[in-house]
Amino acid sequence: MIRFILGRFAGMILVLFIVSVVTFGIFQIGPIFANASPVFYYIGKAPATPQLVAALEHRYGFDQPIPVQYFNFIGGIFGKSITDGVSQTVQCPFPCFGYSFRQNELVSVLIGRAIPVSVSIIVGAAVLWLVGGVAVGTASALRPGTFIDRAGMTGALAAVSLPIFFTGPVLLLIFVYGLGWLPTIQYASLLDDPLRWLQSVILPWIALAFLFAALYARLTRSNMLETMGEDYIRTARAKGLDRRTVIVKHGLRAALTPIVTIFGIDVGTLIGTTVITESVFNLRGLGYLSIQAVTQQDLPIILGVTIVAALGLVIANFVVDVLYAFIDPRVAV
Amino acid sequence: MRFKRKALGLASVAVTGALLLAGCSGTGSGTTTPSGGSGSASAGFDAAVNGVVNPSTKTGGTLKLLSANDCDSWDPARTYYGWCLNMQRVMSRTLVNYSKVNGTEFTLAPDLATDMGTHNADYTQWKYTLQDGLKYSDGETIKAEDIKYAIERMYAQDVITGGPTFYFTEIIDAPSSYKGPYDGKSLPDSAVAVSGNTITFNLKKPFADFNYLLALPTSAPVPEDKDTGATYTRNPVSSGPFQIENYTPQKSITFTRNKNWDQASDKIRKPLADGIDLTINSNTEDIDNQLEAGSADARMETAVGPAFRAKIYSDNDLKKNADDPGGPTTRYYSIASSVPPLDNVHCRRAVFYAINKASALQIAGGSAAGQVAGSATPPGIPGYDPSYNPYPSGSDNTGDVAKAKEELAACGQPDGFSTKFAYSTPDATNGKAFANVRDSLAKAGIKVTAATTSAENYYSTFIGSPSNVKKQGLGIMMAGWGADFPTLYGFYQNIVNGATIRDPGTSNYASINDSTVNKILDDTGTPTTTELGTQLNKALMATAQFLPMRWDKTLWYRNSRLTNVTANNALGFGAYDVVNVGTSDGK
Amino acid sequence: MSIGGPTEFEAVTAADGMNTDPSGDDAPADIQGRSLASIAWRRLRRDKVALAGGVVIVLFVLVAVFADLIAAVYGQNPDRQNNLGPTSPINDVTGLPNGAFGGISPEHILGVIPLSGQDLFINLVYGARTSLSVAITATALSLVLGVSLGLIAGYFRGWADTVISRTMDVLLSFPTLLFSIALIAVVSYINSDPAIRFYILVFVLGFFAFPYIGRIVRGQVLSLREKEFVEAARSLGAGNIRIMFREIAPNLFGPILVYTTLSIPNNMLGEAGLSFLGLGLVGTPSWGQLLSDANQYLQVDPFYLFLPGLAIFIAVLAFNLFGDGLRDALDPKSTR
Repeated sequence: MIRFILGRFAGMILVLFIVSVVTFGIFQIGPIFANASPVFYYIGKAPATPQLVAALEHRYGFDQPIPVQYFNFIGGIFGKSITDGVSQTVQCPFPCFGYSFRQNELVSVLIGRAIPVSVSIIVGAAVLWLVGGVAVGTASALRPGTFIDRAGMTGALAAVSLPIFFTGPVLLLIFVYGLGWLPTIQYASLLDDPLRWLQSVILPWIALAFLFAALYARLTRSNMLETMGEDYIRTARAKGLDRRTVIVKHGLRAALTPIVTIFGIDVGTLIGTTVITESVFNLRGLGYLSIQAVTQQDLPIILGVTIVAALGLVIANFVVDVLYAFIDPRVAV
Repeated sequence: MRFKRKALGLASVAVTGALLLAGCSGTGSGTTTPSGGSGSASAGFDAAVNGVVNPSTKTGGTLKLLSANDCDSWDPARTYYGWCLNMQRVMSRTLVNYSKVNGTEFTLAPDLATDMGTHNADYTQWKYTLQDGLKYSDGETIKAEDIKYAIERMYAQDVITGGPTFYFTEIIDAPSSYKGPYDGKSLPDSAVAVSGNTITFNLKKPFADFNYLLALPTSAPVPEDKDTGATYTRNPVSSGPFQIENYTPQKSITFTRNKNWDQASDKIRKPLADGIDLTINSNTEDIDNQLEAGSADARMETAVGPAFRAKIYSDNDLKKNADDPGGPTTRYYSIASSVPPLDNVHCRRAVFYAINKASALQIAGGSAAGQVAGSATPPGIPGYDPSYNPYPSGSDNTGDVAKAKEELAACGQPDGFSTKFAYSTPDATNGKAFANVRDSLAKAGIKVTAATTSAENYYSTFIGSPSNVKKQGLGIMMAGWGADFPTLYGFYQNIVNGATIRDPGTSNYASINDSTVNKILDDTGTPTTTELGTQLNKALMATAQFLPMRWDKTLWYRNSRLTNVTANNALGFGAYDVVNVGTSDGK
Repeated sequence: MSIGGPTEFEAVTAADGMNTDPSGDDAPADIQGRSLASIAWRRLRRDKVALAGGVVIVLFVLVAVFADLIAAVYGQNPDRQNNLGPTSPINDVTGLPNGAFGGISPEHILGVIPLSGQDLFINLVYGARTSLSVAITATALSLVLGVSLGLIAGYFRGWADTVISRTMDVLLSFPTLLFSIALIAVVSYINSDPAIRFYILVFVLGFFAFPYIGRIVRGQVLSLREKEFVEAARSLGAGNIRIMFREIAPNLFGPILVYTTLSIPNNMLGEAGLSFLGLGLVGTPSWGQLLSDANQYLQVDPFYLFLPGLAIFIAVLAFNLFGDGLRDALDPKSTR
């Protein structure tokens, strides 16, 4: 088991390494093709003379070999002081992703500010879609082929076909501009202003949960149907156990195990990738930060957010793998 | 100011969902009658454009301002966004500054200096005397050395990036090896000399507009012991009536009154408010809702959004609190003569005749967004003449296909040709503008395809690199420019003088290199006159490389509780001159 | 692109519930395969919902193919500005379309786009072309990569399998969305040619999705290569290439077909999502771009939002319904 966990852990580190190299690579090598200097990622504004470009390249270390630049960046994550002025250095404690010269702020501070927003969206939505999806899926599976089943599954298929950048604005149109039940979205911290916080995240929850609940409903239904066909369930029914008990104690539990697995991975995946939701609802989370950084070509932020997102993903995978290995030791062989 | 400052703000807003669009009642053109002083007017639509809304002396209250973006920098030497130059007026004083910023004719007055300075006969030496007893917000005395130090740090071009420092570094007679003060070296007296309270600038060449340069916040004094280099933006020392109380980048900045600032020493500012809160709000719809509800006082960085604009124009109660000022700004298309067949002047003229300027104006927001430009020089710049249009694109500005075809025949391309139209993404309005160009030029047989890049590097390396323009064949390039100061040099130097062609990093996108234009701009020892302006405008239009599309206007909204409101057309694209604004309720 | 799970703007319907483990009751032999196909076709014909989806798909394809013809008959092109003069559908004060329904008139049957007055109907028609061409090409790319690599991994096993499978594992745990956004930004920085935008869009959508079909194919091939008919072919002296393509590949037709119909709508959503973020094609109408523009006019011209939204919804739903029906029809265990 320990060997298994260590192996998975090594895999996780490897993925993080590859992600960072590739992301770093496309942004460093890209400008070379364009015959431009990567310093434009950092300053981009001054009407640059060649001398100025050279001076900036030197200051930010772009005149060093690319591998050296990469290791400087990675080394920086574990905390160091970075020069961002001439005589000035900024202490950048772990986890340090460098300094955004565009936003005049440490990347770790920007990410730290964005994470609560993204987490608020994801956690609330996740609870909604898990409960909603499993409920609809179970209801469908219990009466396969009936009206409830068909309505549930057709609805789920329709929901999967609706993009968030359509449902989001429609929700805004109805609840903010139409009925006026909610104020225009402006995020406030849960601790500062719980009501405003709820008002700002409730629509993103619904929009995101709508899409995912549809998937989970389909998944729950097919898992339930499969489980209900298994011998031990038939045996339990034959023993005269109450139908309800069988469904809840045996069927649902067995059907939910793979769903919880997928749930873990989905939540991990969403960290840093709720780009559209945050754009539609004007929430400054990780997704917004990254798309803004991409349009501004702010390399330190892009690298930082990508690594955080990859971290969310691989940790979710790791945890799920390990948990699975405990539940079903055959996996760890 | 460089136009990209503003365009940049828009670009990132486009992602979040709101955009500068306008539509308008056809109130006047950009030609406004200059009022001698600041004029005065009670509330009403456009009242702050030339006058002062709700004149008052009542003090107290905190201004609640909003913006969708933070400033590029709060370091006075590093900011170049128009609205941020305007914000700097609350905390950065310079030797000379603008005393009237509304209308289209602005006046300068001594600020830190005792008078407007003296210059020698050929404008190569300028001498100023600092007022006695001026203090920074930290109580230290403002010294003439601090202004010299502010000039010195501009030479550290790898640290003090972003601002219009090049105006200074190009003309001050500094040794070419000078790289700024951070390696312990100072400028010699042969460049900038300080003696007691007097400071003398020695220039490489005559420069009659020097006072206008000083009116930019760029040369505001910086005490050497407080300078933190690139991080000075986090906590700049104030010399003006307000000082930074708290600053969280990308979130908020609050100002309180600077107790060490003395009204008696400042003839330009008459601050009334106790404090200023500027909140960065990414939700532009929320900004407009707060303005409409009166819970916020003004939006600083750009015009109101399209939904609110529509409401303003259909509700007189809202409209009376709105202003639609026009400043010295031209939106234009640069036509590259390095891209065949546009190397032939007739092919370029064909584009001039065929273009549909009227639809382009409508896309930008109709008459609220400006007026169709017949020539390059915008209102407020000497030589401005709305009746001058050497290449009329039809009587209604929708394109003159017959004339375009004539020019195409003269060019040897009777069946038209293919070229590219460059614009920046993501911006839905730019996409519509491209559709207009493609549609209107297609009528004359000119086929246009898109060439785009991200707004961030559009100006710097895409159209700002003559070799890239040639290599990628960017025949027609979308551009815009607002004057850094209202003289020929302040508007044109960077965008049409052949001497400013660099690769990359030029703002002369079409590589215009016309001897008459160059000569007028190079002759910096002669103050701007209308006659020179007319001459330059005509010579520039003759090159057929600068296709003027419109002279800009911007729609702003002010809370009705605000007093002493004027538009800052000199620096802020018409944003309200917040330093003098007060509140009627004292809150 | 598809990501290690569903993303916010596309769901991995292609992979969900798909039978990736060919069990004994799959019928791999040629003869049986043919009869399976005819059984499937008979089942599909009875599935009215799926057939309706199929009809809508055909309609969308026709619209996309004949967009130029439609434009000529209709008398508008997607660029034309109808924003001037007294007869214009655009209010010259507000820049918004006249009336509550986005300026609908006999000339503009679905109204016009604010400010520019471009005809919305014809923009939606060309948007269908953009959407389908990107989605189909991207799906083709993921199929070519996924099927060939899956075949190689499953057939040869050993180190080839290890390398391919591990690569697919890594790709599946990549923050693909962020990576794609960054890649598109960098590539458009290097080259401004609109055609490049098309290729890069196809690449990010197609490339990152190939592990899904790759895994399915690998699993199928692993079990198929042990079947008697493969042994028989081998004993008759057939080479590896011949066995892979003549014996094994035909049996993959079912899963590939299902994957294709379910992957196209995913890629349509991906294209629209990236266009919504301003990273799609330029100089070409696209549904995502229209939606992103419509977002600015939510309060004053809500009608503008619904049309591109409905276009995406209907097209994607049609593909999903058809793909779902197809999967059920091809699944021997299906109860329908």
